[in-house]
Amino acid sequence: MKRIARAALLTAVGLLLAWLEQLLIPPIAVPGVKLGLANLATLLALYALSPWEALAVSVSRVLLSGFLFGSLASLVYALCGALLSLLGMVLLKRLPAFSIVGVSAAGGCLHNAAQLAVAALMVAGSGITVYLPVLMIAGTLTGTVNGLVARLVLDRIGDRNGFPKARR
Amino acid sequence: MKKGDVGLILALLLAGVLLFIPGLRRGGAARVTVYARGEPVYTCPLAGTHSYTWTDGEDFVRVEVGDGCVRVADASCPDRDCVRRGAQSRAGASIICLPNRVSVVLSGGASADDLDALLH
Repeated sequence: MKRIARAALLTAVGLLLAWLEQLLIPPIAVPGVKLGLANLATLLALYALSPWEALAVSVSRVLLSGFLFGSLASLVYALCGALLSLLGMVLLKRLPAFSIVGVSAAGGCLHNAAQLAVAALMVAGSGITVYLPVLMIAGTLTGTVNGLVARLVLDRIGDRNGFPKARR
Repeated sequence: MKKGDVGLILALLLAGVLLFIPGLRRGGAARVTVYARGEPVYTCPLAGTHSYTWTDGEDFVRVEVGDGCVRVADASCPDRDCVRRGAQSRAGASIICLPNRVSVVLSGGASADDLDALLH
């Protein structure tokens, strides 16, 4: 029961972040350029809980924010981006060379790149791939910030409120 | 933060920058092509004044060409990112409406004396 509550809490946090991000409407009106703030929730789940709970948080958040803020088509891209990003993060987390910051940076970059790849397949011939550099850089930077914030958060709340100490 | 992190982040950023460079060699465009669901449905020269509206049931995207540039005047998508993209005139530039899966692509101008308009 506790696991469901923790995952739900993080999903809610992710949803809130996604909504906040919507308010800061992207200055570059490039389709799908999101800062990826909501990945913070997935990241916290991955490091403080388990990969499976991170998966649950990620998918739930993407589905909910897709229904609330986006369209059916955007759901497909967002889900692919989130799943591939999580897979990448889980794999990178195993390597001792990287801490939560690097993993998150890579996750953010991968999320945007994967999202663009799927969109490029579905809107073939549009030359949408020109946006790849911008998306990769934006994703990496946001991921880095997310990683730094996540570490601060986990340092504070680890071992309390039902969240285990972070496994860096 | 570990040393590996810094390397990884720099590598990702560098990759982004390197991919960006080919996009800088762009000149003027001469042709506008509208793709819907992966198929070209309309094309016209960038010169002159043209207007085209793609519809599918309730969805629509209205494309307007004039003053040497192309823009999406209006669309049925919730975010209207495509409208906010504004006017485009460089070769290789594009305006994309992701929810409707419609894209407007500008291509370089070699021969502007082929088709004037093409409707499917």
